[in-house]
Amino acid sequence: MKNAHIIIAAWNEEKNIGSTIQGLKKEGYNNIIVVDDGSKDKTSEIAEKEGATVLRHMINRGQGAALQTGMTYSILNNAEYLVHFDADGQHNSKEIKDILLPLKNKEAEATLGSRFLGEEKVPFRRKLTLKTAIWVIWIFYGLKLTDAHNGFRGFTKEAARKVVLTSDKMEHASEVIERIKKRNIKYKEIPVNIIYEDHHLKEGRKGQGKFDAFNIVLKMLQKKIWE
Amino acid sequence: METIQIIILIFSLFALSRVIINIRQRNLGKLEGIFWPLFWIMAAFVATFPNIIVSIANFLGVDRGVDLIIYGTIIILAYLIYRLYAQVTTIERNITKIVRTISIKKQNEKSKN
Repeated sequence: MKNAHIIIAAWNEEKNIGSTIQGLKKEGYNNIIVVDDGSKDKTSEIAEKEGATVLRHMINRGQGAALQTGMTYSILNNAEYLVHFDADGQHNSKEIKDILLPLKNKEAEATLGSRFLGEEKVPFRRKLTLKTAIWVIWIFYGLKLTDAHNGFRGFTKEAARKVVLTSDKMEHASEVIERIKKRNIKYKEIPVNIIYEDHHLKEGRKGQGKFDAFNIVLKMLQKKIWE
Repeated sequence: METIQIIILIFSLFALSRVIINIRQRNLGKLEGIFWPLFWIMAAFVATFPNIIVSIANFLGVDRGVDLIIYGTIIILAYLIYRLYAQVTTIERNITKIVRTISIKKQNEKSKN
């Protein structure tokens, strides 16, 4: 998979980034772009040691900003396919091939991971929030998806050029969907498994907590009204 | 003259002096350079001749002069918050662009060496 770039936004992920990169290498992905979003720990050093290309944000700008930095870099470096992947081990590197396949077959220009298409292992409270998010996205953008705010996605180079994220923080996940709709990008949802371990649920601050959900809707509204 | 009138008058003149300093130092844009002096001159004027505001209020269908001032202030404040929001958003986006460009440039330099 020479021409597939795996883009990882990482902020203070020294505990997980090493094993995440190892897992990707094991599956044969060698173009791993880690965007260190102003970490205060050893994320950059570890990622470099494991052989990833590390882009360093000198200050924290948020996950959306970091992913866009990775995409800009990958496009400049001739990636054919771009995959968004989580730093903290919630995504399964074995499933990247499922994300890439429809792109290679030209079935779709963008693939969105969905944890509700396949076998479901989602904790109830998480499910409630996500199902609400699906409705919100449907109301806002007219796109009926089975999962919202799933960070596991793939793009062809052309699609990545059209999805330019301006949302720095977590609301980028809605922005991706907005761009797909606005720019008529052909997409497909792919069943993926999200691994929920204790530390994922505890580290709510990094993922999307309840207050974040409220903030995201607020930002979506602002964007809709003012832009 | 009531004490409150004197306080508002003194504050308005103080604020006006700050605005003039800022205009001289070219810290304000064209629109702001017109808006802020006018705003404080009006505040000073109204504080000195409060009856004027009562007549304007009655003309507009508002009973009390003070009510008119409060309504007006809320509208102006809301607009200023909107302007600030828009400016902050632009600044945030620009910061991200700078941070992004630096990070990519540094990586490119590193891979060249």
